[in-house]
Amino acid sequence: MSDDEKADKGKQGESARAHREARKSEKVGQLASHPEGDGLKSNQREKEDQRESMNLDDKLYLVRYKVDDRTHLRVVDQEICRNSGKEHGHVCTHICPAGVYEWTGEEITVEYERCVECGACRIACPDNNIDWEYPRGGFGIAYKHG
Amino acid sequence: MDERFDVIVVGAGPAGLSAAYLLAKAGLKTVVFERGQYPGSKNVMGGILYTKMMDEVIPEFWREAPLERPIIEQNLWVLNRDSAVKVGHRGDRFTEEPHNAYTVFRAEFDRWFGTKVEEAGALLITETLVEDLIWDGQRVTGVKVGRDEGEVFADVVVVAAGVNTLDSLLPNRPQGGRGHRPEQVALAVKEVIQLTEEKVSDRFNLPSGYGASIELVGEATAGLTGTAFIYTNRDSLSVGVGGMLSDFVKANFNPHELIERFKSHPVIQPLLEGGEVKEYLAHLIPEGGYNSMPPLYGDGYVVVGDAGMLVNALHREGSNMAMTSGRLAAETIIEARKKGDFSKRSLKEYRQRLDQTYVIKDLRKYRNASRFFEETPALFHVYPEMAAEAAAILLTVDGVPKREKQGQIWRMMREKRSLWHMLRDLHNARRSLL
Repeated sequence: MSDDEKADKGKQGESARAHREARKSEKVGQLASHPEGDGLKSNQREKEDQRESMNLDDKLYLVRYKVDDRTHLRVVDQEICRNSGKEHGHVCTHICPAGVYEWTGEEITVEYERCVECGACRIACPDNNIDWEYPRGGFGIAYKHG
Repeated sequence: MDERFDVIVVGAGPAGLSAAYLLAKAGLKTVVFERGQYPGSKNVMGGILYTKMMDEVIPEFWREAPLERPIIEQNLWVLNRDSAVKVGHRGDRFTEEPHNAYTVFRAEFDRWFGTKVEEAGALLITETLVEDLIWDGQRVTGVKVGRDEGEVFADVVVVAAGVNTLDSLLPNRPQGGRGHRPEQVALAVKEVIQLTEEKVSDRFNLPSGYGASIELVGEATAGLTGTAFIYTNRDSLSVGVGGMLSDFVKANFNPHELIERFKSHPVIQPLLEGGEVKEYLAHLIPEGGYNSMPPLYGDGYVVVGDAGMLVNALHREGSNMAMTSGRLAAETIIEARKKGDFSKRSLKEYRQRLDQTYVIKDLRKYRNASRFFEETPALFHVYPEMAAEAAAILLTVDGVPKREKQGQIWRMMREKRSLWHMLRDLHNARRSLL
Protein backbone atom coordinates (compact mmCIF):
# COMPACT_ATOMS: atom_id res chain seq x y z
CA MET A 1 0.00 0.00 0.00
CA SER A 2 1.44 3.39 -0.95
CA ASP A 3 1.49 6.34 1.43
CA ASP A 4 -1.24 7.97 -0.59
CA GLU A 5 -3.46 5.00 -0.20
CA LYS A 6 -2.75 4.81 3.47
CA ALA A 7 -3.74 8.43 3.83
CA ASP A 8 -6.93 7.80 1.87
CA LYS A 9 -7.75 4.82 3.96
CA GLY A 10 -7.07 6.72 7.13
CA LYS A 11 -9.32 9.52 6.03
CA GLN A 12 -12.07 7.13 5.18
CA GLY A 13 -11.57 5.24 8.40
CA GLU A 14 -11.95 8.39 10.43
CA SER A 15 -15.12 9.36 8.68
CA ALA A 16 -16.49 5.86 9.09
CA ARG A 17 -15.59 5.74 12.77
CA ALA A 18 -17.08 9.15 13.39
CA HIS A 19 -20.42 8.01 12.12
CA ARG A 20 -20.39 4.47 13.32
CA GLU A 21 -21.49 5.23 16.83
CA ALA A 22 -24.16 7.69 15.81
CA ARG A 23 -25.71 5.30 13.35
CA LYS A 24 -25.33 1.94 14.99
CA SER A 25 -28.52 2.05 16.95
CA GLU A 26 -30.86 3.49 14.38
CA LYS A 27 -29.79 1.74 11.18
CA VAL A 28 -30.17 -1.84 12.29
CA GLY A 29 -33.37 -3.75 11.89
CA GLN A 30 -35.37 -1.40 9.71
CA LEU A 31 -36.17 -4.12 7.26
CA ALA A 32 -39.85 -4.00 6.47
CA SER A 33 -41.85 -6.88 5.12
CA HIS A 34 -42.66 -7.06 1.46
CA PRO A 35 -46.17 -5.69 0.89
CA GLU A 36 -47.21 -8.91 -0.78
CA GLY A 37 -45.00 -11.26 1.16
CA ASP A 38 -46.76 -11.71 4.45
CA GLY A 39 -44.90 -13.53 7.13
CA LEU A 40 -41.61 -13.56 5.30
CA LYS A 41 -39.80 -11.88 8.07
CA SER A 42 -41.01 -13.47 11.29
CA ASN A 43 -38.55 -16.26 12.20
CA GLN A 44 -35.76 -14.67 10.32
CA ARG A 45 -35.95 -11.50 12.29
CA GLU A 46 -35.73 -13.21 15.63
CA LYS A 47 -32.63 -15.02 14.50
CA GLU A 48 -31.15 -11.84 13.16
CA ASP A 49 -31.49 -10.26 16.54
CA GLN A 50 -29.66 -13.11 18.23
CA ARG A 51 -26.89 -13.20 15.69
CA GLU A 52 -24.25 -10.57 15.48
CA SER A 53 -24.67 -9.18 12.00
CA MET A 54 -21.93 -7.10 10.51
CA ASN A 55 -22.38 -3.38 10.73
CA LEU A 56 -22.45 -1.34 7.51
CA ASP A 57 -19.74 1.02 8.70
CA ASP A 58 -17.43 -1.89 9.38
CA LYS A 59 -18.05 -3.13 5.87
CA LEU A 60 -17.38 0.23 4.28
CA TYR A 61 -14.17 0.36 6.24
CA LEU A 62 -13.00 -2.62 4.16
CA VAL A 63 -13.53 -0.74 0.93
CA ARG A 64 -10.75 1.37 -0.49
CA TYR A 65 -11.62 4.95 -1.41
CA LYS A 66 -9.74 7.93 -2.67
CA VAL A 67 -11.91 10.62 -1.20
CA ASP A 68 -12.29 13.86 -3.12
CA ASP A 69 -12.61 17.09 -1.19
CA ARG A 70 -15.74 17.99 -3.08
CA THR A 71 -19.04 16.22 -3.34
CA HIS A 72 -20.37 14.53 -6.46
CA LEU A 73 -23.86 14.11 -4.96
CA ARG A 74 -26.27 16.93 -4.23
CA VAL A 75 -29.85 17.17 -3.18
CA VAL A 76 -31.31 19.60 -5.69
CA ASP A 77 -34.06 21.05 -3.51
CA GLN A 78 -34.38 20.26 0.22
CA GLU A 79 -37.87 21.74 0.16
CA ILE A 80 -38.98 18.78 -1.96
CA CYS A 81 -37.55 16.38 0.65
CA ARG A 82 -39.49 18.22 3.34
CA ASN A 83 -42.74 17.91 1.43
CA SER A 84 -43.22 15.01 -0.94
CA GLY A 85 -40.13 13.29 0.44
CA LYS A 86 -41.95 12.75 3.68
CA GLU A 87 -44.78 10.96 1.91
CA HIS A 88 -42.59 8.31 0.35
CA GLY A 89 -40.34 8.03 3.37
CA HIS A 90 -37.19 9.50 1.83
CA VAL A 91 -36.35 6.69 -0.55
CA CYS A 92 -32.67 7.60 -0.76
CA THR A 93 -32.18 6.95 2.96
CA HIS A 94 -33.11 3.29 2.64
CA ILE A 95 -32.19 2.50 -0.96
CA CYS A 96 -28.53 3.46 -0.68
CA PRO A 97 -26.36 0.37 -0.02
CA ALA A 98 -23.74 2.59 1.61
CA GLY A 99 -25.97 4.73 3.81
CA VAL A 100 -24.96 8.00 2.17
CA TYR A 101 -28.24 9.77 2.87
CA GLU A 102 -29.82 10.54 6.18
CA TRP A 103 -32.96 12.44 7.12
CA THR A 104 -32.32 14.66 10.10
CA GLY A 105 -35.94 15.66 10.50
CA GLU A 106 -35.33 18.85 8.58
CA GLU A 107 -33.12 17.96 5.70
CA ILE A 108 -31.30 15.19 3.90
CA THR A 109 -27.62 15.04 4.73
CA VAL A 110 -25.28 13.64 2.09
CA GLU A 111 -22.13 11.81 3.12
CA TYR A 112 -20.69 11.42 -0.36
CA GLU A 113 -17.48 9.94 1.09
CA ARG A 114 -19.31 6.66 1.67
CA CYS A 115 -20.65 6.39 -1.89
CA VAL A 116 -19.91 3.15 -3.76
CA GLU A 117 -21.08 4.71 -7.03
CA CYS A 118 -23.88 2.28 -7.83
CA GLY A 119 -26.24 4.99 -9.07
CA ALA A 120 -29.35 3.63 -7.34
CA CYS A 121 -30.28 6.87 -5.58
CA ARG A 122 -30.42 8.90 -8.75
CA ILE A 123 -32.85 6.50 -10.40
CA ALA A 124 -34.85 5.64 -7.29
CA CYS A 125 -35.63 9.16 -6.08
CA PRO A 126 -39.32 9.58 -7.00
CA ASP A 127 -38.82 13.33 -7.30
CA ASN A 128 -35.71 13.13 -9.44
CA ASN A 129 -34.20 15.35 -6.77
CA ILE A 130 -30.63 14.07 -6.67
CA ASP A 131 -27.96 15.68 -8.78
CA TRP A 132 -25.75 12.66 -9.37
CA GLU A 133 -22.35 12.91 -10.95
CA TYR A 134 -19.40 10.62 -11.14
CA PRO A 135 -16.58 11.55 -8.80
CA ARG A 136 -13.77 13.27 -10.65
CA GLY A 137 -11.42 10.96 -12.54
CA GLY A 138 -9.34 8.85 -10.16
CA PHE A 139 -11.45 9.64 -7.11
CA GLY A 140 -14.05 7.57 -5.34
CA ILE A 141 -14.17 3.85 -4.86
CA ALA A 142 -11.36 1.52 -5.92
CA TYR A 143 -12.36 -2.11 -5.58
CA LYS A 144 -9.66 -4.66 -4.91
CA HIS A 145 -11.75 -7.67 -5.91
CA GLY A 146 -14.74 -6.34 -7.83
CA MET B 1 -1.16 14.18 -25.68
CA ASP B 2 -1.60 13.70 -29.40
CA GLU B 3 -5.24 14.60 -29.72
CA ARG B 4 -6.32 12.74 -32.80
CA PHE B 5 -7.13 9.02 -32.73
CA ASP B 6 -8.86 6.54 -34.97
CA VAL B 7 -11.05 5.36 -32.13
CA ILE B 8 -11.89 6.57 -28.63
CA VAL B 9 -13.21 3.96 -26.22
CA VAL B 10 -15.06 5.30 -23.18
CA GLY B 11 -14.74 2.87 -20.27
CA ALA B 12 -12.39 0.00 -19.48
CA GLY B 13 -14.87 -2.76 -18.71
CA PRO B 14 -15.26 -6.01 -20.64
CA ALA B 15 -17.05 -4.32 -23.54
CA GLY B 16 -14.64 -1.41 -23.96
CA LEU B 17 -11.52 -3.50 -23.44
CA SER B 18 -12.69 -6.15 -25.92
CA ALA B 19 -13.26 -3.49 -28.55
CA ALA B 20 -10.00 -1.71 -27.81
CA TYR B 21 -7.94 -4.90 -27.88
CA LEU B 22 -9.15 -5.92 -31.33
CA LEU B 23 -8.95 -2.38 -32.73
CA ALA B 24 -5.38 -1.96 -31.54
CA LYS B 25 -4.45 -5.42 -32.83
CA ALA B 26 -5.75 -4.38 -36.24
CA GLY B 27 -3.44 -1.39 -36.14
CA LEU B 28 -5.96 1.33 -35.40
CA LYS B 29 -4.80 4.15 -33.21
CA THR B 30 -6.94 3.58 -30.16
CA VAL B 31 -7.29 5.32 -26.82
CA VAL B 32 -9.26 4.03 -23.82
CA PHE B 33 -10.43 6.41 -21.10
CA GLU B 34 -11.17 4.96 -17.69
CA ARG B 35 -12.34 7.07 -14.77
CA GLY B 36 -11.01 4.65 -12.13
CA GLN B 37 -7.47 4.33 -10.86
CA TYR B 38 -7.09 1.15 -12.91
CA PRO B 39 -9.36 -0.93 -15.13
CA GLY B 40 -11.68 -2.88 -12.86
CA SER B 41 -11.52 -0.51 -9.91
CA LYS B 42 -15.14 0.51 -10.51
CA ASN B 43 -16.34 -2.74 -12.02
CA VAL B 44 -18.58 -5.23 -10.28
CA MET B 45 -20.25 -8.42 -11.31
CA GLY B 46 -21.48 -11.53 -9.53
CA GLY B 47 -18.35 -13.21 -10.59
CA ILE B 48 -18.85 -15.63 -13.47
CA LEU B 49 -17.00 -15.17 -16.73
CA TYR B 50 -17.92 -17.24 -19.77
CA THR B 51 -14.94 -18.59 -21.63
CA LYS B 52 -16.13 -18.67 -25.23
CA MET B 53 -16.83 -14.97 -25.64
CA MET B 54 -13.57 -13.93 -24.02
CA ASP B 55 -11.70 -16.53 -26.07
CA GLU B 56 -13.07 -14.91 -29.22
CA VAL B 57 -11.29 -11.72 -28.18
CA ILE B 58 -8.05 -13.15 -26.76
CA PRO B 59 -7.62 -16.78 -27.80
CA GLU B 60 -6.55 -19.02 -24.92
CA PHE B 61 -6.70 -16.15 -22.46
CA TRP B 62 -7.40 -18.70 -19.73
CA ARG B 63 -3.81 -19.88 -19.82
CA GLU B 64 -2.62 -16.62 -18.30
CA ALA B 65 -5.54 -14.56 -17.01
CA PRO B 66 -6.23 -14.29 -13.27
CA LEU B 67 -9.10 -16.74 -12.77
CA GLU B 68 -10.50 -18.29 -9.62
CA ARG B 69 -12.22 -21.64 -10.26
CA PRO B 70 -13.71 -23.29 -13.36
CA ILE B 71 -17.40 -23.93 -12.78
CA ILE B 72 -18.34 -27.61 -12.94
CA GLU B 73 -21.57 -27.46 -10.99
CA GLN B 74 -24.53 -25.09 -11.19
CA ASN B 75 -27.43 -25.02 -8.78
CA LEU B 76 -30.76 -23.36 -8.27
CA TRP B 77 -32.06 -23.25 -4.73
CA VAL B 78 -35.58 -22.18 -3.88
CA LEU B 79 -35.67 -20.88 -0.34
CA ASN B 80 -38.47 -20.34 2.06
CA ARG B 81 -38.12 -19.23 5.67
CA ASP B 82 -36.25 -22.22 6.95
CA SER B 83 -35.65 -24.63 4.09
CA ALA B 84 -34.48 -25.02 0.53
CA VAL B 85 -35.53 -27.02 -2.50
CA LYS B 86 -32.44 -27.70 -4.58
CA VAL B 87 -31.87 -28.58 -8.20
CA GLY B 88 -28.57 -28.59 -9.98
CA HIS B 89 -26.20 -30.09 -12.47
CA ARG B 90 -22.70 -31.42 -11.99
CA GLY B 91 -20.88 -32.31 -15.16
CA ASP B 92 -17.58 -34.09 -15.59
CA ARG B 93 -17.43 -32.61 -19.10
CA PHE B 94 -16.96 -29.20 -17.49
CA THR B 95 -13.64 -30.30 -16.02
CA GLU B 96 -12.11 -30.36 -19.50
CA GLU B 97 -10.28 -27.40 -20.98
CA PRO B 98 -11.29 -24.97 -22.21
CA HIS B 99 -13.73 -24.72 -19.34
CA ASN B 100 -17.21 -23.37 -19.88
CA ALA B 101 -17.01 -20.65 -17.24
CA TYR B 102 -14.83 -19.37 -14.44
CA THR B 103 -15.36 -17.41 -11.30
CA VAL B 104 -13.27 -14.24 -11.45
CA PHE B 105 -12.62 -11.04 -9.56
CA ARG B 106 -13.36 -8.27 -11.95
CA ALA B 107 -10.90 -5.83 -10.43
CA GLU B 108 -8.14 -8.37 -11.05
CA PHE B 109 -9.35 -9.64 -14.38
CA ASP B 110 -10.01 -6.25 -15.95
CA ARG B 111 -6.68 -4.96 -14.73
CA TRP B 112 -4.97 -7.85 -16.48
CA PHE B 113 -7.16 -7.30 -19.56
CA GLY B 114 -6.05 -3.66 -19.53
CA THR B 115 -2.38 -4.66 -19.73
CA LYS B 116 -3.18 -6.87 -22.72
CA VAL B 117 -4.92 -3.94 -24.40
CA GLU B 118 -1.83 -1.82 -23.83
CA GLU B 119 0.44 -4.56 -25.15
CA ALA B 120 -1.77 -4.69 -28.25
CA GLY B 121 -0.86 -1.05 -28.83
CA ALA B 122 -3.75 0.95 -27.42
CA LEU B 123 -3.24 3.91 -25.14
CA LEU B 124 -4.97 3.40 -21.78
CA ILE B 125 -5.59 6.59 -19.83
CA THR B 126 -6.93 6.06 -16.32
CA GLU B 127 -8.25 8.52 -13.74
CA THR B 128 -9.96 10.38 -16.54
CA LEU B 129 -13.67 10.96 -16.76
CA VAL B 130 -15.27 11.45 -20.15
CA GLU B 131 -17.90 14.11 -19.59
CA ASP B 132 -19.45 14.69 -22.96
CA LEU B 133 -19.42 13.93 -26.64
CA ILE B 134 -18.24 16.48 -29.14
CA TRP B 135 -20.63 16.98 -32.00
CA ASP B 136 -20.28 18.35 -35.48
CA GLY B 137 -23.90 18.68 -36.52
CA GLN B 138 -25.35 15.16 -36.29
CA ARG B 139 -21.94 13.53 -36.13
CA VAL B 140 -19.91 12.62 -33.06
CA THR B 141 -16.32 13.69 -33.58
CA GLY B 142 -14.74 13.22 -30.18
CA VAL B 143 -15.09 13.51 -26.42
CA LYS B 144 -14.61 16.08 -23.72
CA VAL B 145 -12.59 14.76 -20.81
CA GLY B 146 -12.27 16.05 -17.27
CA ARG B 147 -8.68 17.13 -17.68
CA ASP B 148 -6.97 20.31 -18.71
CA GLU B 149 -6.25 19.08 -22.22
CA GLY B 150 -9.99 19.03 -22.65
CA GLU B 151 -10.91 17.66 -26.05
CA VAL B 152 -9.91 14.53 -27.90
CA PHE B 153 -11.00 13.68 -31.43
CA ALA B 154 -11.49 10.45 -33.36
CA ASP B 155 -13.33 8.91 -36.29
CA VAL B 156 -15.47 6.81 -33.98
CA VAL B 157 -16.36 6.85 -30.29
CA VAL B 158 -17.16 3.52 -28.63
CA VAL B 159 -19.45 4.22 -25.66
CA ALA B 160 -18.70 1.51 -23.09
CA ALA B 161 -19.32 3.39 -19.87
CA GLY B 162 -21.57 0.85 -18.22
CA VAL B 163 -24.97 0.95 -16.60
CA ASN B 164 -24.57 4.51 -15.36
CA THR B 165 -23.42 5.91 -18.69
CA LEU B 166 -24.18 9.61 -18.61
CA ASP B 167 -27.12 10.76 -20.69
CA SER B 168 -24.79 13.06 -22.55
CA LEU B 169 -22.94 10.00 -23.89
CA LEU B 170 -26.06 8.18 -25.08
CA PRO B 171 -27.57 10.17 -27.93
CA ASN B 172 -31.23 9.70 -28.82
CA ARG B 173 -32.08 7.42 -25.96
CA PRO B 174 -35.83 7.23 -25.57
CA GLN B 175 -36.14 8.31 -21.93
CA GLY B 176 -34.30 11.39 -20.74
CA GLY B 177 -33.64 12.74 -17.30
CA ARG B 178 -31.90 10.36 -14.95
CA GLY B 179 -30.90 7.49 -17.09
CA HIS B 180 -33.06 4.48 -16.41
CA ARG B 181 -36.36 3.96 -14.69
CA PRO B 182 -36.42 1.91 -11.46
CA GLU B 183 -38.20 -0.92 -13.33
CA GLN B 184 -35.30 -1.19 -15.76
CA VAL B 185 -32.44 -1.86 -13.38
CA ALA B 186 -31.64 -4.33 -10.66
CA LEU B 187 -29.68 -3.28 -7.61
CA ALA B 188 -27.24 -5.89 -6.37
CA VAL B 189 -25.00 -5.98 -3.34
CA LYS B 190 -22.22 -8.44 -2.88
CA GLU B 191 -19.62 -9.49 -0.37
CA VAL B 192 -16.38 -11.31 -0.85
CA ILE B 193 -16.10 -13.68 2.09
CA GLN B 194 -12.75 -15.23 2.81
CA LEU B 195 -12.48 -18.88 3.87
CA THR B 196 -9.67 -21.28 3.03
CA GLU B 197 -9.18 -23.18 -0.19
CA GLU B 198 -9.90 -26.47 1.59
CA LYS B 199 -13.03 -25.19 3.26
CA VAL B 200 -14.45 -23.94 -0.02
CA SER B 201 -13.81 -27.31 -1.68
CA ASP B 202 -15.15 -29.28 1.28
CA ARG B 203 -18.29 -27.28 1.90
CA PHE B 204 -19.31 -27.35 -1.73
CA ASN B 205 -18.16 -30.91 -2.34
CA LEU B 206 -15.71 -29.88 -5.04
CA PRO B 207 -12.56 -31.52 -6.34
CA SER B 208 -9.58 -29.31 -5.63
CA GLY B 209 -9.44 -26.33 -7.97
CA TYR B 210 -12.98 -26.59 -9.31
CA GLY B 211 -15.96 -24.43 -8.55
CA ALA B 212 -19.73 -24.27 -8.20
CA SER B 213 -22.42 -21.66 -8.50
CA ILE B 214 -25.71 -21.39 -6.66
CA GLU B 215 -28.52 -19.04 -7.68
CA LEU B 216 -31.26 -18.64 -5.14
CA VAL B 217 -34.80 -17.34 -5.28
CA GLY B 218 -37.64 -16.85 -2.81
CA GLU B 219 -36.75 -15.97 0.74
CA ALA B 220 -33.22 -15.37 -0.55
CA THR B 221 -34.44 -11.95 -1.69
CA ALA B 222 -37.18 -11.72 0.93
CA GLY B 223 -39.60 -12.08 -1.96
CA LEU B 224 -38.27 -9.22 -4.06
CA THR B 225 -38.19 -9.82 -7.78
CA GLY B 226 -34.61 -10.96 -8.08
CA THR B 227 -32.08 -13.59 -7.11
CA ALA B 228 -29.29 -14.21 -4.68
CA PHE B 229 -26.07 -16.04 -5.49
CA ILE B 230 -23.11 -17.83 -4.00
CA TYR B 231 -20.07 -18.44 -6.20
CA THR B 232 -16.92 -20.25 -5.15
CA ASN B 233 -13.62 -18.48 -5.64
CA ARG B 234 -10.25 -20.09 -4.89
CA ASP B 235 -10.25 -19.38 -1.17
CA SER B 236 -13.34 -17.20 -0.82
CA LEU B 237 -17.00 -16.92 -1.75
CA SER B 238 -18.81 -14.23 -3.70
CA VAL B 239 -22.15 -13.83 -1.99
CA GLY B 240 -24.77 -11.42 -3.24
CA VAL B 241 -28.40 -10.43 -3.43
CA GLY B 242 -30.07 -8.48 -6.21
CA GLY B 243 -33.56 -7.27 -6.90
CA MET B 244 -35.36 -4.86 -9.17
CA LEU B 245 -34.78 -1.32 -7.95
CA SER B 246 -38.50 -0.62 -8.23
CA ASP B 247 -39.14 -3.51 -5.83
CA PHE B 248 -36.61 -2.21 -3.33
CA VAL B 249 -38.39 1.12 -3.42
CA LYS B 250 -41.85 -0.39 -3.10
CA ALA B 251 -40.91 -2.66 -0.21
CA ASN B 252 -38.83 -0.05 1.57
CA PHE B 253 -35.91 -2.46 1.71
CA ASN B 254 -32.35 -1.61 2.48
CA PRO B 255 -29.90 -3.65 0.40
CA HIS B 256 -27.34 -4.00 3.16
CA GLU B 257 -29.94 -5.38 5.53
CA LEU B 258 -31.17 -7.69 2.82
CA ILE B 259 -27.78 -9.31 2.35
CA GLU B 260 -27.33 -9.67 6.11
CA ARG B 261 -30.70 -11.36 6.25
CA PHE B 262 -29.76 -13.68 3.42
CA LYS B 263 -26.48 -14.62 5.07
CA SER B 264 -28.28 -15.54 8.28
CA HIS B 265 -30.70 -17.96 6.61
CA PRO B 266 -30.39 -21.36 8.32
CA VAL B 267 -29.50 -23.07 5.02
CA ILE B 268 -26.95 -20.43 4.03
CA GLN B 269 -25.30 -19.61 7.31
CA PRO B 270 -23.34 -22.89 7.67
CA LEU B 271 -21.79 -22.35 4.22
CA LEU B 272 -20.39 -19.00 5.31
CA GLU B 273 -19.55 -19.93 8.88
CA GLY B 274 -16.24 -18.54 10.05
CA GLY B 275 -15.73 -16.54 6.86
CA GLU B 276 -14.30 -13.07 6.96
CA VAL B 277 -15.79 -10.30 4.82
CA LYS B 278 -13.05 -8.84 2.63
CA GLU B 279 -15.01 -6.43 0.48
CA TYR B 280 -18.53 -5.01 0.19
CA LEU B 281 -19.79 -3.99 -3.23
CA ALA B 282 -22.90 -2.64 -4.91
CA HIS B 283 -23.83 -2.17 -8.53
CA LEU B 284 -26.77 -1.71 -10.86
CA ILE B 285 -27.58 -4.21 -13.59
CA PRO B 286 -29.44 -2.96 -16.67
CA GLU B 287 -32.26 -5.50 -16.93
CA GLY B 288 -34.79 -3.59 -18.99
CA GLY B 289 -34.16 -5.94 -21.88
CA TYR B 290 -34.84 -5.60 -25.56
CA ASN B 291 -37.57 -3.00 -25.23
CA SER B 292 -35.33 -0.64 -23.25
CA MET B 293 -32.25 -0.65 -25.45
CA PRO B 294 -31.01 2.76 -26.54
CA PRO B 295 -30.00 3.23 -30.18
CA LEU B 296 -26.70 1.32 -30.49
CA TYR B 297 -25.13 3.32 -33.32
CA GLY B 298 -25.18 6.64 -35.06
CA ASP B 299 -22.89 8.93 -37.03
CA GLY B 300 -19.48 8.46 -35.49
CA TYR B 301 -20.42 6.33 -32.47
CA VAL B 302 -21.45 2.90 -31.28
CA VAL B 303 -22.77 1.77 -27.90
CA VAL B 304 -21.63 -1.54 -26.36
CA GLY B 305 -22.16 -3.62 -23.22
CA ASP B 306 -24.19 -2.47 -20.23
CA ALA B 307 -24.48 1.01 -21.75
CA GLY B 308 -26.59 -0.63 -24.46
CA MET B 309 -28.69 -2.67 -21.95
CA LEU B 310 -27.14 -5.86 -23.29
CA VAL B 311 -27.95 -8.11 -20.36
CA ASN B 312 -29.90 -11.36 -20.21
CA ALA B 313 -30.93 -11.34 -16.57
CA LEU B 314 -32.74 -14.65 -16.76
CA HIS B 315 -29.59 -16.52 -17.70
CA ARG B 316 -27.14 -14.47 -15.67
CA GLU B 317 -25.42 -13.30 -18.86
CA GLY B 318 -24.01 -9.81 -19.22
CA SER B 319 -20.23 -9.67 -19.35
CA ASN B 320 -20.22 -12.17 -22.20
CA MET B 321 -22.66 -9.98 -24.12
CA ALA B 322 -20.42 -7.04 -23.36
CA MET B 323 -17.45 -8.86 -24.86
CA THR B 324 -19.36 -9.99 -27.94
CA SER B 325 -20.73 -6.50 -28.54
CA GLY B 326 -17.25 -5.01 -28.08
CA ARG B 327 -15.81 -7.47 -30.55
CA LEU B 328 -18.50 -6.86 -33.16
CA ALA B 329 -18.16 -3.10 -32.74
CA ALA B 330 -14.42 -3.44 -33.36
CA GLU B 331 -14.93 -5.61 -36.44
CA THR B 332 -17.43 -3.12 -37.81
CA ILE B 333 -15.12 -0.17 -37.20
CA ILE B 334 -12.22 -1.97 -38.86
CA GLU B 335 -14.40 -2.51 -41.94
CA ALA B 336 -15.69 1.06 -41.81
CA ARG B 337 -12.13 2.32 -41.83
CA LYS B 338 -11.35 0.42 -45.00
CA LYS B 339 -14.30 2.17 -46.60
CA GLY B 340 -13.42 5.47 -44.96
CA ASP B 341 -17.04 5.75 -43.95
CA PHE B 342 -18.03 6.22 -40.29
CA SER B 343 -21.55 7.37 -40.96
CA LYS B 344 -24.63 5.95 -39.34
CA ARG B 345 -25.28 3.93 -42.48
CA SER B 346 -21.88 2.33 -42.29
CA LEU B 347 -21.92 1.65 -38.53
CA LYS B 348 -25.35 0.09 -38.83
CA GLU B 349 -23.36 -3.01 -39.71
CA TYR B 350 -22.58 -3.35 -35.98
CA ARG B 351 -26.23 -3.73 -35.11
CA GLN B 352 -26.78 -6.09 -38.03
CA ARG B 353 -23.95 -8.30 -36.86
CA LEU B 354 -25.23 -8.20 -33.31
CA ASP B 355 -28.70 -9.19 -34.55
CA GLN B 356 -27.23 -12.40 -35.94
CA THR B 357 -25.81 -13.48 -32.58
CA TYR B 358 -27.19 -14.89 -29.34
CA VAL B 359 -27.03 -11.36 -27.90
CA ILE B 360 -29.98 -9.87 -29.73
CA LYS B 361 -31.65 -13.20 -30.40
CA ASP B 362 -31.82 -13.94 -26.67
CA LEU B 363 -32.80 -10.41 -25.74
CA ARG B 364 -35.57 -10.57 -28.28
CA LYS B 365 -36.69 -13.99 -27.06
CA TYR B 366 -37.08 -12.64 -23.53
CA ARG B 367 -38.38 -9.23 -24.53
CA ASN B 368 -41.51 -9.71 -22.44
CA ALA B 369 -39.79 -11.48 -19.56
CA SER B 370 -39.15 -8.42 -17.43
CA ARG B 371 -42.78 -7.38 -17.71
CA PHE B 372 -43.86 -10.89 -16.80
CA PHE B 373 -41.69 -10.86 -13.67
CA GLU B 374 -42.88 -7.40 -12.79
CA GLU B 375 -46.51 -8.45 -13.12
CA THR B 376 -46.06 -11.77 -11.34
CA PRO B 377 -44.39 -11.03 -8.01
CA ALA B 378 -45.87 -14.30 -6.72
CA LEU B 379 -43.04 -16.06 -8.51
CA PHE B 380 -40.64 -14.76 -5.91
CA HIS B 381 -42.50 -15.50 -2.71
CA VAL B 382 -45.71 -17.51 -3.19
CA TYR B 383 -44.31 -20.22 -5.44
CA PRO B 384 -41.03 -20.71 -3.53
CA GLU B 385 -43.10 -21.11 -0.37
CA MET B 386 -45.27 -23.64 -2.17
CA ALA B 387 -42.32 -25.66 -3.41
CA ALA B 388 -40.69 -25.85 0.01
CA GLU B 389 -43.96 -26.69 1.70
CA ALA B 390 -44.79 -29.41 -0.83
CA ALA B 391 -41.37 -30.99 -0.40
CA ALA B 392 -41.73 -30.89 3.37
CA ILE B 393 -45.14 -32.59 3.25
CA LEU B 394 -43.94 -35.25 0.85
CA LEU B 395 -40.71 -35.99 2.69
CA THR B 396 -42.12 -36.13 6.19
CA VAL B 397 -42.72 -39.80 6.95
CA ASP B 398 -45.70 -39.71 9.27
CA GLY B 399 -47.82 -42.63 8.19
CA VAL B 400 -50.10 -40.51 6.03
CA PRO B 401 -50.80 -42.38 2.77
CA LYS B 402 -49.26 -40.77 -0.29
CA ARG B 403 -52.55 -40.12 -2.02
CA GLU B 404 -53.68 -38.18 1.00
CA LYS B 405 -50.40 -36.26 0.95
CA GLN B 406 -51.01 -35.35 -2.68
CA GLY B 407 -54.38 -34.01 -1.63
CA GLN B 408 -52.74 -32.03 1.17
CA ILE B 409 -50.22 -30.53 -1.21
CA TRP B 410 -52.89 -29.63 -3.73
CA ARG B 411 -55.00 -27.94 -1.06
CA MET B 412 -51.97 -26.09 0.29
CA MET B 413 -51.17 -24.80 -3.19
CA ARG B 414 -54.71 -23.62 -3.81
CA GLU B 415 -54.77 -21.85 -0.49
CA LYS B 416 -51.67 -19.92 -1.50
CA ARG B 417 -52.77 -19.19 -5.05
CA SER B 418 -56.10 -19.75 -6.76
CA LEU B 419 -56.27 -22.25 -9.57
CA TRP B 420 -57.20 -19.46 -11.94
CA HIS B 421 -54.09 -17.49 -10.98
CA MET B 422 -51.84 -20.51 -11.27
CA LEU B 423 -53.12 -21.28 -14.74
CA ARG B 424 -52.72 -17.69 -15.76
CA ASP B 425 -49.16 -17.57 -14.41
CA LEU B 426 -48.32 -20.75 -16.27
CA HIS B 427 -49.79 -19.40 -19.48
CA ASN B 428 -47.90 -16.12 -19.14
CA ALA B 429 -44.68 -17.93 -18.26
CA ARG B 430 -44.96 -20.06 -21.38
CA ARG B 431 -45.67 -17.04 -23.51
CA SER B 432 -42.88 -14.85 -22.24
CA LEU B 433 -40.15 -17.38 -21.42
CA LEU B 434 -40.42 -20.27 -23.88
